[in-house]
Amino acid sequence: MKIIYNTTDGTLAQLVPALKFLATLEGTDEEKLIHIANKDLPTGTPYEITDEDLSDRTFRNAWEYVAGADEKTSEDLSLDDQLKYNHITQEEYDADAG
Amino acid sequence: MSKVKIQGHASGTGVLTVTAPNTSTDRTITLPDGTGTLLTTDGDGSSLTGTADATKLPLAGGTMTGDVTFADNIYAKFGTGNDLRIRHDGSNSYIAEMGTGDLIIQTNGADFLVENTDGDNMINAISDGAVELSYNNVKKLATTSTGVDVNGDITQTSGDYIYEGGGNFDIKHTIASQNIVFSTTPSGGSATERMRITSDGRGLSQFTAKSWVSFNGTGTIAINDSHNVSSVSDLNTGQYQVNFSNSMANANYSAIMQPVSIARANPWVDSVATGYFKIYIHQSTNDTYYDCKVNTVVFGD
Repeated sequence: MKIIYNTTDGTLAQLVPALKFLATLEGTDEEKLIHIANKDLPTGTPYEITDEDLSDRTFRNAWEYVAGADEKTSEDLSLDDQLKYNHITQEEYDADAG
Repeated sequence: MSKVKIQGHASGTGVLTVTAPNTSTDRTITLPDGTGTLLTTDGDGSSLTGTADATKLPLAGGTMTGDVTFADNIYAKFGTGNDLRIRHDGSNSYIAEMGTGDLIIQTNGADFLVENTDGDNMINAISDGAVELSYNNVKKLATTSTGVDVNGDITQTSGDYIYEGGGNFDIKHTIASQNIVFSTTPSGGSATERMRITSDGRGLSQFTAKSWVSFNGTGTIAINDSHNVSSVSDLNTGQYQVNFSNSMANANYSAIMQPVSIARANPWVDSVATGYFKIYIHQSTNDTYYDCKVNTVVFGD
């Protein structure tokens, strides 16, 4: 499965997870991909999880993202995950959050 | 005095002698009170016969019912050759094995403890179990069935090596979420961290790759293998974004990228951020972006 979303220039992008990173996560496959979307997509980005075959890259530049019924929106990671992935301390996080 | 009787043996030849003192001072011979017989000796005093005085310890042995005190530097000696000696010299106390054998301290199953007079443990040797060493009553080292447990730091004050007798030499951190840190001390400096192996398997240093990935950017986009990469975004033809699992400390890192099997490529890295960087595979000859397999390596903080 992969994540499709809209880039800032209006083109469809697909985000492919690394298997080694997936192996570090817990939960269902969908929960793992939601976690990656929250981590790697800007917060508030609409996206969908799909296993659609996108191997035919003919007219790749013309691909467009169209919102589907299962569209989700990326959210902020939990505080613990933010601290872990960004190598910051609680104090640094608090200072950055103002 | 009711009666004084000195009697010789009628058929013997022995002589009962009372030796005069060599001074003018009177000497008194005190006989035991109650029933009993005055101990007698033969001529050279080597054989003592008669009924023992209950207040004296016979040579054959007996039970002491009070303390035995040895003055400073007076030994209690044991063994025919005086092999084991115990003494106090006024400052220190000694238990010394002076013979040819070992000094062995045995128990019949009880533990062997060395404590100070406050009861603080220094050594606790458990029968058929661990031997524990304490510092100020806090256990610091204990033998186990598999080796040794240490509670605290280990400082090697001399010597250069830690040897492994055979097989792999494993350094294992068994506490979750904790790292292994390697430090060295430069001339005139203090101990400085050089490399850190994180609990999630990353090697953090100035000389090890912080991240790498090999992915196929053609057809079905797929990551072949990676380290510290959570995902790759296919942004457009020949345009990708590598997302780090764990962000870099800053954006001043070195991202090295190589497209595979594409001639006259003009690849570059752009939009370098702490959490990701973007890759562009361009062919200047026809001003076109191309999909291809890509390898990347990242060094930095």
